[in-house]
Amino acid sequence: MATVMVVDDAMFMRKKCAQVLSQNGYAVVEAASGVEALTAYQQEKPDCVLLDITMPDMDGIQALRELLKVDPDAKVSMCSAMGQQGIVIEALKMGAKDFVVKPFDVARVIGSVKKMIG
Amino acid sequence: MDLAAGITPEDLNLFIQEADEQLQLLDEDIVRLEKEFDNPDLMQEIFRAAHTLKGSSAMVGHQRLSDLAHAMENVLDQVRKGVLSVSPLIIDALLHGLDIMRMLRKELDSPDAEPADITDAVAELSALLTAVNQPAKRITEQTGILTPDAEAQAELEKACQEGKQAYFIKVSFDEQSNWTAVRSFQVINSLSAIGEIIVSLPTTQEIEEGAINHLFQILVASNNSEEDIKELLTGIPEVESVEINAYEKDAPEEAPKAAGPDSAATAKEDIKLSHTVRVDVNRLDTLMEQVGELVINRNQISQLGRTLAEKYHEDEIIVAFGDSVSQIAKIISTLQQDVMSIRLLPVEIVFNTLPRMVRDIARKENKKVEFIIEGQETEVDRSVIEQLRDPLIHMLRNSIDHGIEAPEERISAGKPEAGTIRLTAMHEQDNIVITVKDDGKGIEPKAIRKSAVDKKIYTSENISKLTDSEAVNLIFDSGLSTASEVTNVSGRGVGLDVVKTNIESLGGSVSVESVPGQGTTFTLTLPLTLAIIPALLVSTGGTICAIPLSSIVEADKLDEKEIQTVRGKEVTLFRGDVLPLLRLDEVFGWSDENNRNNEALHIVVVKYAGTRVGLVVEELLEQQELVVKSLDHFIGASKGITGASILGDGRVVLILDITSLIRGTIIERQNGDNIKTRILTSRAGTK
Repeated sequence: MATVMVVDDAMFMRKKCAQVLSQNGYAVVEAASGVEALTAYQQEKPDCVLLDITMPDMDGIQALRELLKVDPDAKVSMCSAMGQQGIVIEALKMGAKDFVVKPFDVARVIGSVKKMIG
Repeated sequence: MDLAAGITPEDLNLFIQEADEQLQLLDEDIVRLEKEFDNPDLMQEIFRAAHTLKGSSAMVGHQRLSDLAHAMENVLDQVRKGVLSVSPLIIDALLHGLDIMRMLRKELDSPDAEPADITDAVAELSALLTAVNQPAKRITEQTGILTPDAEAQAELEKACQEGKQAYFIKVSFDEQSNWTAVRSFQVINSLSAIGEIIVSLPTTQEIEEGAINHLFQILVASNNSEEDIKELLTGIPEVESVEINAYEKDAPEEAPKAAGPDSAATAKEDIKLSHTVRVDVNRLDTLMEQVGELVINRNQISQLGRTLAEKYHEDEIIVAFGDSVSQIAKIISTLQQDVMSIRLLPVEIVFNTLPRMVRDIARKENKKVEFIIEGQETEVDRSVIEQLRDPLIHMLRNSIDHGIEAPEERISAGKPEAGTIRLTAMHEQDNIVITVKDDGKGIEPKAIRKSAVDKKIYTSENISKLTDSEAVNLIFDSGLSTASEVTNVSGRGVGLDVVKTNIESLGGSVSVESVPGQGTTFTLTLPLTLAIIPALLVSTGGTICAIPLSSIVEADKLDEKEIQTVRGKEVTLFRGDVLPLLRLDEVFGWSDENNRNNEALHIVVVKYAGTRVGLVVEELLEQQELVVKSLDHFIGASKGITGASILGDGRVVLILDITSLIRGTIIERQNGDNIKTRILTSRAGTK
């Protein structure tokens, strides 16, 4: 079973996303902040990461940078809301593999995960 | 209201919980923002809250809530970037938006509610943005055909010499997509991974500037086949069609390199569990009730143990039984404390809603108020928390409205322009004490006295008997308001008396102290829990009563000789003060003055709002934890009695309401009437 790490400070979003993923047969690791994500990533070694952009302390872009430092092959898909195109482009340039737009479409989330981990 | 598909009631609950937290956070932070406009962390926090709300509410399908949050987010974003600066206008618009958000949130509880209109709030917020006159980004339509320039031609030739195939690719995106710029980047990223991008229309830089519509043309040199590329690109979301043509056909094709799948997926445990659980309040209430019953039974068993020990003395079994009983008693006490502590919540929950209210009232009244909160971490039972909000609002309104002076008035009185209201909470024994202290003009005892006489609540003779402190506390009487003008905030003569009634019905008390010209302090004392109270059992006139420990100052023997009579009323000299006496048996009509028992008496000194009274009883029995049972259902609310409890031996005791007893005596004495606070004639019977 592949493991997906869901990083989002918004509890509802995180839970909903985790629920969708586990219903589709993935193991889920949750992290509520960029800092938590970094620790959890190294401990749990998830196969891919869904990373929210707007978060306290360490936002998605910073977290992405740190994640890629830890693991240059990290498979990260950015979760973003409308109006964050610029940031998403920056993330893609930095090495994010994909992105999904909130509100989540189940097929899109699963699609993005499948695309990342094959 | 229709929710999005796939949203279960549990999802909705989760959403509501979080939305409530975000709304509360916004409430507190927006008010703070007005003062701390240069605090970037605060700004970020507000922005994130709006952002989270926008995302989550769209997810559950509450589109209007999401749209409004989006409008707020836009404004906040501009403030965050320094384009807009914080002004009362912006704060007002944000707060207005927040009010509508709360209405939208309520729609989730009552689906039949009239859907709230967000148009005004959104317009108000958008107006702030147009004021900035931000130049709208116009996306220019790209209609041209990609043609490689000389430089590109050279690169193309070089790539072909390396054995690569050049492709001309046209990617069309979904017309509905708002994300074409990002999608184009994904196309670029995908193609860069397998080959070399010679040139594109629009260029990378143009895309970053947002200058892309729904067609993206790329010239790429790659070793991969046409099919591979096509598959790669159609995998990108919102890509509608991909058209690939070989740019030059003579280069040999090579087998695509298989990308080694690195799916070293190790099975993981399921979702991580957090360390806290959320529990339905009703379950806690039931648990508390069960523990209450357990406490009653513990008392009964303890009693039984004592009776057995008296009867059989040293019997081994009885001794063992006694030990076991005391063990159980100990465990039950711990259990009781634990359950109580689960139900404890910080008063913060209520306090945090107040700064917004204070700001609104102060703005309406054109007053400047510095609002300081202290001790918000103080914990109290949730049953008490629920009752705190209204009294606090009343007292704060009173302070802003009647206490704090207008800025000019304050300056001429040599005070700082902005008044200070300090809200403090702390524990004091088994009570929580909350004070609202302002540095306003204070309350003139003279004015109160005059008002009380004018309104015929007191005669001018009686009013002069009151101390200043007692006179000031008359503001809690119904029908007495001292504001020279009635404002729409407070001061229609109702309010503080309601506060008093409510607080007293909870077994608490409220009082006021004031120094004219310097300020007023309201003090609110409430028990930490309403379910179990420690009390002193006393007996008098053949009946057992319980006096809540929270109102007892001390208890002592009382010699008949110490009782004196002043104007027909019994008093005694206690610790140097004249203390009015109240014979409980006579107050309740269990016996009368003619066969008064004057031997072996005890006095229990109780206090309420600075007034002390000595209750005369026959015997002091013991101190016990009592589970309060309300009497209201059976015989209606009774003056002088707050409730009843069942003792270990099955007897019923009445729990005295010291507040109403003391008020009864004072009024009785001041008015010179002899009306007894005759309350219960039916004795609380034995089982």
